[in-house]
Amino acid sequence: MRAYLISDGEFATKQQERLDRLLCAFLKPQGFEIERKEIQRDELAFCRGCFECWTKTPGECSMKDGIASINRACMESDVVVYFCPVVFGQFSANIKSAIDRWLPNMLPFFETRKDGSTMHPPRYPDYPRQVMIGYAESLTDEDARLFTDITMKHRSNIPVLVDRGDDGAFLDQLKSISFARVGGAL
Amino acid sequence: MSDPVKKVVLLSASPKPPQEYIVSEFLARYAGERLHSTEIEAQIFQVRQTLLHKETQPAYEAMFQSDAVLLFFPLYFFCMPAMLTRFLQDFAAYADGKERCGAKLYVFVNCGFPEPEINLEAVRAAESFAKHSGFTFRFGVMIGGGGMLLGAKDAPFMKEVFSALDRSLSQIEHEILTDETFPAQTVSIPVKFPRRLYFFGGNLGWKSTARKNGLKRKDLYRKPYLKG
Repeated sequence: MRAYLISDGEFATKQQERLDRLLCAFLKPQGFEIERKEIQRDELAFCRGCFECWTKTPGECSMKDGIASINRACMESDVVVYFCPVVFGQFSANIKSAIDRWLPNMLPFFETRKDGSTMHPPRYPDYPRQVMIGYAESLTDEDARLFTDITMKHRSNIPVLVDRGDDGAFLDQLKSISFARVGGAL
Repeated sequence: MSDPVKKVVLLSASPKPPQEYIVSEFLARYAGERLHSTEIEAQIFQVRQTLLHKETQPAYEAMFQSDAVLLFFPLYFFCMPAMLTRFLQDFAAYADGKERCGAKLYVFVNCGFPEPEINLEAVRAAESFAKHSGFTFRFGVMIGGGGMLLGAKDAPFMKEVFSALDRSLSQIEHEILTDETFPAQTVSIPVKFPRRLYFFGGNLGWKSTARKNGLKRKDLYRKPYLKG
């Protein structure tokens, strides 16, 4: 089993190191091999909304930078963890670049989910378990709630953890997650 | 004596390269035309261009000296696109240690899905940016069915959309000119069009574009990263 950990080189703080350490200590005894990717400023181009990943090179971004290897590594892993610096209650620019450019892994069409909302259907029969771990030096409750809502209100199968500096609470949250590939909609 | 002309900065923040159909750019220009007058000086900046050419400084200075900033962007994965986040993240670093600028901030978010309410978290993120960076957040305008906004802008069913936009812009103009503020309330603007037809048209569009690119229908379902 493989876990792919994505982090932001602009926010490689002690807090992020601590979370990485706790996570690896949790995953390794379960037989996970760890692979890391630290995204640096300007390393990835911004998604430009051209939709060529749907209509020209389906499943692959047409911009040839490092995203192809990131998306391949994601799809071939069992677990993908994003260490997300929380900026204005949302993802930092580097992490959001990787998330925006996940788009090729979905299909272009529109479909209605059970709750009546719209979503693009999955391209693959199953996906790695994605986990968002939010952290920031001083995080307001409002920003923490927004960070959680962005994913939890709109996407299924993606747990969100927000670090408030308590190792025990963080480990308890990890224990509540099933670290295995997931099928169906995202 | 203070300058009677109010300064407004319009940030057009679509990551799309310049082309004919960019909803956020259209909305920024639309707002600019309505707000610009002898009493309001409106200036547009394309976020993409400022970042691409490493010329964010003039935009940041204009934002800092403005009375109001209007931000226009598309929803990407239920929040701001990475490109806009980069621009605002860098602005926060630019503003750090400076006096609070205090300008009013309004946001216009559009999405390709029909339901405008999914833009709410992006509006909240803009509000958070305002708090962290010294702006006074006023309200957001959430627009659904963004894919139709330009293509069908002259259709009768779009009248309500533009009337709602005009009402929001009138309120903004009033607030800028008088410094009087109303209770802030986020505005939701749906395109009144049958959902099924919207999906049908959208899905047909993807297939038609793929065909123009020399692909067959089954090619749309390729799985290049299928785990073996």
